[in-house]
Amino acid sequence: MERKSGKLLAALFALFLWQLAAMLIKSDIIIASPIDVLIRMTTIWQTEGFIQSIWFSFYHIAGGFFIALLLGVFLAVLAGKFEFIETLLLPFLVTVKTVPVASFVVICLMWLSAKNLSVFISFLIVLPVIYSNVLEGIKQEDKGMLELAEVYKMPFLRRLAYIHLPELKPFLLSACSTALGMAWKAGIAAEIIGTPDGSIGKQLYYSKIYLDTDDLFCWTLIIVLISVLFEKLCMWALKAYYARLEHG
Amino acid sequence: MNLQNIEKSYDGKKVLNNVSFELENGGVYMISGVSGRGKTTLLRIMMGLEKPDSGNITDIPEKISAVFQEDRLYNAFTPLVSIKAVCGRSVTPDDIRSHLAQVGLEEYADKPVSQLSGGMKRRVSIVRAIIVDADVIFLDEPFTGLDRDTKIKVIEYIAKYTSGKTLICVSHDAEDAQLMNAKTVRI
Repeated sequence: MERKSGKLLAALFALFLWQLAAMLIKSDIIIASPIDVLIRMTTIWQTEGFIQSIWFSFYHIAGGFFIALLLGVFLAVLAGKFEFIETLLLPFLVTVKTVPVASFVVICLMWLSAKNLSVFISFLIVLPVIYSNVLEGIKQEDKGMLELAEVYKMPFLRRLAYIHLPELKPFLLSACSTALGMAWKAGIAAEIIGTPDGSIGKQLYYSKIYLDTDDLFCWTLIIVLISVLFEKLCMWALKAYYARLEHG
Repeated sequence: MNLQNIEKSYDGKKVLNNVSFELENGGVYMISGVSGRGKTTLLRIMMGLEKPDSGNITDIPEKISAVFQEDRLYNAFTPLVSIKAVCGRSVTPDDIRSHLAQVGLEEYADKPVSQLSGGMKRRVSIVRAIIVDADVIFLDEPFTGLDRDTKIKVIEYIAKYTSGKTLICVSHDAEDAQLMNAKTVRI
């Protein structure tokens, strides 16, 4: 309770500083005040293509995340089983981890349509996070539990559910929690550079072009809200799965 | 099950030296020997978890189960889930509960393993090995952490469900062979 009220106070303090900055700068082009953003929030949903923009960005970025999750786990399992695959994948992972997102976006714009860019970029950013964490989890698997599965001749699916997934739980939860936020940051950045029609990125880009700072702040807030909601939903689903598994 | 001239060394130190014996199906056996003579290693070789340096084992049944020296249970799982994990749908939750009740764990079936004492975890491991449809059951120090009364109760439970099955046990307590009516195999 004390911690919650502490967080609330911190948020109120940040809002106060924001409002103070807006009042001191006195330019709604440079900074929109929290009150202006709040007022704009009540009408922005009426903007043409509002829902479509949210849906467009959501399913592209979420799609990229889920493809990376599946492929990351699959590659980690392969790399855990065959060391040469881990070595083979190393240069690709180092490249993805070190090259700036903006460079990838520009390069990918030459290969892909702007429409599909955010799927690929969020996939690219999420993949190494999932892969590295899951591979680490596989390497740290309890050999005793693997022997148990061997002795009892547990079939593949039961082994996956009752041996491998429990072993990977902390790694998977941490990977997903980190990767979900990154997917949104990278996906929206890609949309701003690629400006695909009907995306949140394009809305942000137009807000900047037309110096519509209220809209810029509003869309940013909307991205944060969707990103947090999506992360909470995914983490809730993962935790609910594990709770069901652990308690039968 | 026939073991012929089994030898095993670790880092140049021989732990099993020319071990040979034959076990009849359906028998109860206690493998005894002083500490460090490779009793656990021998069990692991018989379970197929390790390969001997030389010698061979013939006629190992396909279906086996085991109580390992460590409990090998996930702390987050309940005993019910821990047992269901190895049995699948061949055993119902009611069956599992009934087995747990027979070793005094009726109230703990749905509690996380982390809340169980060492002796309780041991009993969960034992139930898991007994409830599975196996022809040979390997028991490596199965009664560690159990008081004498509980041990007798557990031995009665094991005997009730293992008629016709081969039991191969390793224990540091000489009395266990007597309590289990086991033939002693010295290595």
